[in-house]
Amino acid sequence: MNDTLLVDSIASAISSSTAVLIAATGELLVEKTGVYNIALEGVMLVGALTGFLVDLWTGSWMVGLLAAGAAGALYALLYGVITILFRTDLIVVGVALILIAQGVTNTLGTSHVGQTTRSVIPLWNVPGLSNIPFIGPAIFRQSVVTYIAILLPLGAIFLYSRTRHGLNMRSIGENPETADTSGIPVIGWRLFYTALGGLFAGVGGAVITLGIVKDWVSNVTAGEGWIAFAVVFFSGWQPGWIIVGAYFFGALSVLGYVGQALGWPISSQFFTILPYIGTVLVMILRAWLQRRRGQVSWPAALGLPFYRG
Amino acid sequence: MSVEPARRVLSNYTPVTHARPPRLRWRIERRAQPLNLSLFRFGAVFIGIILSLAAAPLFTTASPRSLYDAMWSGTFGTATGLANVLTIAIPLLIAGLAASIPYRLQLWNVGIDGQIYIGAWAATGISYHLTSQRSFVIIPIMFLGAMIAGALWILIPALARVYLGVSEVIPTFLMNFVALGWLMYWATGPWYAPSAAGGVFAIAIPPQADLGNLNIGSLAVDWGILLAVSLPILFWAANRFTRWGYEVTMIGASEKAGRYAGMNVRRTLIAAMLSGGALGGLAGALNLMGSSYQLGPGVTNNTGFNGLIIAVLAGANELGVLVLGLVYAVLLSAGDAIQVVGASADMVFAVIGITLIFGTFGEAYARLHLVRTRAPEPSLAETGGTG
Amino acid sequence: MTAGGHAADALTLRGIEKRFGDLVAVKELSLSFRAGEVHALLGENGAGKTTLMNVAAGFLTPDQGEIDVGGQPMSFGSPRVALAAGIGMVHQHFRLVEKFTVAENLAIGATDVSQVTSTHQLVERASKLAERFGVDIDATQPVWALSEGEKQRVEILRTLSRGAKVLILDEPTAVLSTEEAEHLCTNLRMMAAEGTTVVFISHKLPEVLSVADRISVMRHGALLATKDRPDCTVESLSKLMFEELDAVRETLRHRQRKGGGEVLRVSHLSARTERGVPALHDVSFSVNQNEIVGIVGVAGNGQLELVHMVTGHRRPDEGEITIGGKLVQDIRDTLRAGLAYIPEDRKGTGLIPSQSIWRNAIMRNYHEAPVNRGGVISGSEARTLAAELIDRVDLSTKDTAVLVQQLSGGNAQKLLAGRELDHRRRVVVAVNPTQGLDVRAASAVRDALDDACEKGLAVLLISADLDEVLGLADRILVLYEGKIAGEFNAEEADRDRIGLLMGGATP
Repeated sequence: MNDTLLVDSIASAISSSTAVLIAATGELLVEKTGVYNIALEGVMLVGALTGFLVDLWTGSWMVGLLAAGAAGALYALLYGVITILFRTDLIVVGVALILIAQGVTNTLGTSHVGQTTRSVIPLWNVPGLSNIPFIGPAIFRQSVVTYIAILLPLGAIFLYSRTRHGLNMRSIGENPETADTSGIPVIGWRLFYTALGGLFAGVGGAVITLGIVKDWVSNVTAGEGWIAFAVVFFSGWQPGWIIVGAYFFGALSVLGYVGQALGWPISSQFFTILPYIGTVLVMILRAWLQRRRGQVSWPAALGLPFYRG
Repeated sequence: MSVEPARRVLSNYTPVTHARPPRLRWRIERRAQPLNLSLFRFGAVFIGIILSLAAAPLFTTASPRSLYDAMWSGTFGTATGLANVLTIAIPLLIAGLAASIPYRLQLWNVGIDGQIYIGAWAATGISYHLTSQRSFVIIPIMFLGAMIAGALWILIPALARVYLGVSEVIPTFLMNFVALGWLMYWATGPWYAPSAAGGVFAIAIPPQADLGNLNIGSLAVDWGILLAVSLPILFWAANRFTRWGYEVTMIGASEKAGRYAGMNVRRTLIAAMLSGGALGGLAGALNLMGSSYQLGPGVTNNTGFNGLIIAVLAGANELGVLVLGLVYAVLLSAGDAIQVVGASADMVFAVIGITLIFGTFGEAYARLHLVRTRAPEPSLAETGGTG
Repeated sequence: MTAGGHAADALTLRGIEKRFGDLVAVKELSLSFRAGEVHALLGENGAGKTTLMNVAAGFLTPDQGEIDVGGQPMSFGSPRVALAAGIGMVHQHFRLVEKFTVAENLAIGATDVSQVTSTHQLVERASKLAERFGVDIDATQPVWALSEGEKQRVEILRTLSRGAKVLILDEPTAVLSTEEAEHLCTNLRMMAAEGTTVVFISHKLPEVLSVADRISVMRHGALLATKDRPDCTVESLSKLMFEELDAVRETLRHRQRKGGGEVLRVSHLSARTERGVPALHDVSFSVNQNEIVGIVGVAGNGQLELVHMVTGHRRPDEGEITIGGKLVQDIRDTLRAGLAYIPEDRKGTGLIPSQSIWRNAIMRNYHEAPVNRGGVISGSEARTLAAELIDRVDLSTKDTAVLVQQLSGGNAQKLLAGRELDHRRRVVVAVNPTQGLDVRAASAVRDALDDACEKGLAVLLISADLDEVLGLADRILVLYEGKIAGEFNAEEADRDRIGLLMGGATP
């Protein structure tokens, strides 16, 4: 029935956006301090495999997620040390780390290809709300992680608008020299947040293997890392828009399948590419609207290596 | 109300009776005169490759002997191996050029894969309408179409970069996905051809469009190899000897100086980007007409990204792109070959990744050095916290 | 009073020396600043004032010397340490985060802000600080929307709120309107009255006399004198600043040159700086053939904008520029009209250091024959041209493949000047052409300018070096705060009067 299809689609859109939401929030935290982690896709892969294997080992999805986070944090920290500390080229190192991640995870995971996840992240029916006709099953029968995931960007909003720490971190991303003169350790915090972003991305990757796709295949993240990266740009570095962006992208991809199932004349690919076109247009639009102000929408020091003095 | 108490709260100035001698600390700083960048880049990459090759047996259950044997026969040992290397090299070298020309002006063309897709698509589409034509008509027109498509694909990001200052990295990159989606639509829809082997393929291009093989003894590789080898040399020569190349070199070194000399900086930037796009499209056409013959997502296998990396490691020098590109092709071909003996292709990715990191370290070493400074240990209390 | 320094002094500098390569910017300088005084540091370009205070504020590490704060020795090399010791500096380029509001800027790295805060709290804190230090700001505004004067106030407030007891300001009124400048000076006197030490770097005589308690004059990296305000007059200070040194002085050049027809005309030129501050007001003058017109003035009085407009790098806000009767509006126009430009930034704009001599040599005519043959740059033609150039300017190396970055400053400038002072040009704009050069190279460049002028070129020389202009120019214009403060022919050029005009005083 059309109704069931719609409900299922919405539920599916929400759940499949979870991984992107988590990873994108993490990347936002990193980029606010002026660093971008091009290796995001690789970090998510590392997390995806780690989560899957630890889950297999221990039979617990929770431990799997934790381990994935730790692995992601370490891998991202590696990226951070190579690029932030040694001032190497962000793009080349990022791509290199993605290649390494693909190579290593696919190799280690070969024997597990197609294997289903041992302990899957369970869905949770929100008491009461999940019984509301139509909306209930669509929105309120998600996994715990999905609900927690929404808290992350909200937390980021709070961090950047209401805390002293958030202000200091933003200053690192805008003008690291000033932050440095004001007594804030620039390199140290950049490394910290790169690792933290990696933790989020690792968890996001594990959410894919443990919660969405629920098995392991080669390159299981299938570009979700890149989508998360694009979402950060789409959001204009504002955490609230990360939520919009992540769900928007998720919805569009689901829409593609729905369209196919319903026999719409528009092909599914149209929906697949829409978010990317959208992001490019949004970026151009923002730049055009803000050219009077003379300010850029991204953290002014994004991507620039920091040298003291 | 006295002003003094308030000021005391705000100031953390605490006098001490003696000054502590400053601590010696290490710090990474830029060198006043960078060392020879090319030397260190190439050297580092070279070392990286040697080390990876040496370490390769560790990552697989296959015996080292069979591993190296496979690598050898898959590259230089046999005619098929060598042909494979060159076939891989064809789109790779053009992709490297597609990245290096913009890179001369510090522009990043991260969308080469997308340009490959769109170029192959355009070439395919054109070929369907010219099925009655002869080779020497159909082939150039397909090339041209592919190049125009590639250039158009990069046009918007290029304009956004030059006129609005929007970094070209993300827009060009996102266009990759758009191109793939576009290609998939046509390949699974209007141009779909059911294939026994499975996978997505469009209707094959007419046989006149096939580039055909250049046969040297037992070595058979398609004619695209001539373009792939000559274009880098041509572009290098153009950069060295033509007026256009002179402007690119000068503007790439200093936009300020370029403007001072009356050069049209914007036009040069856009032209460089469009050239990159066109070459990306050409790479797609070459792959299509030289080896795959059917439009599909397999028309590129990260070729664009690989090309970008080659360009960066080569320092935008086209001859460097030629050399590194061939080396890269050898690595990739070796990677193909070792799968026969049970090693996974993915390890090849990892190896390449590690080599790249070596390369960037090499470059960083040439640019930076470790300095021992008397970074001051504050003899007085420091203001500010750790956030 | 001398700079002996004793315990009551807020800041004492002893034997400070700072070198940049071969250039000695500050020579064994000792100076003391007292608590609660406004101390002006006076001097023209290259005197070393900014360098000296950068050392004091921790932005530079001196090669020699000591710094005492309130009688206690202080280690240097970091602005953080200096600020912790109570020394803060406000530069000409502010260190604010433009995207943040004023309140947020004041809160960066501050320890007296609670961990969880709110915009309201930050604004309140900012307002309290503003009140405390008597600085007038609107804490809710984003910094990018503020005027330069307001931004400066925020910067000052930030420095003071971090506990600075010595406030150093580098040419603070350069970005201010007259009103704002007055306002600032009043503020500074108030701060001094409350115990802050204010060090005020400037080259503007009237200003310094109106606000300072003591005045130190620097020249060529050395301290000439420190005087109490009551002991100073505009004339006495100007003399100190611009006095003829008994160093090697260039002999007067041809003064009987008769200028030819008008080549360059500048009419009613007005412009603002990049930051929106008015820089040039209704400036008009002309330069004839066979004539050197020298525009003299301390940097920051509109020279930059003037040069950029005359050379086509930017459009004037008002007014127009003609060369040979034809209006010029962009770089291409100027090149077509025959304008040559020897920029101040020789290795950044005029030459490309990472490229070879021959590539640099053809920067002006790479698109013309014989170098350009149908789109192909003929290497041999280019090298021939370069070799001729090398010969003409007597460069230290004869190899056209040598990279410019390997040349010394003097040789690079000789190359640049030689390339620009081509007889096919009609007018040359030269900005500080001998800055940082040794005596021989400087002399060679001046000779080149002179020769070019003899051969018919119109030369517009913009320099902060009064000696140089006096030695070369046929006509001298003094630029102060964007206006032509005075005009002199070579014969009637009176050094003292010019010095006064450069310092903003009316003789």
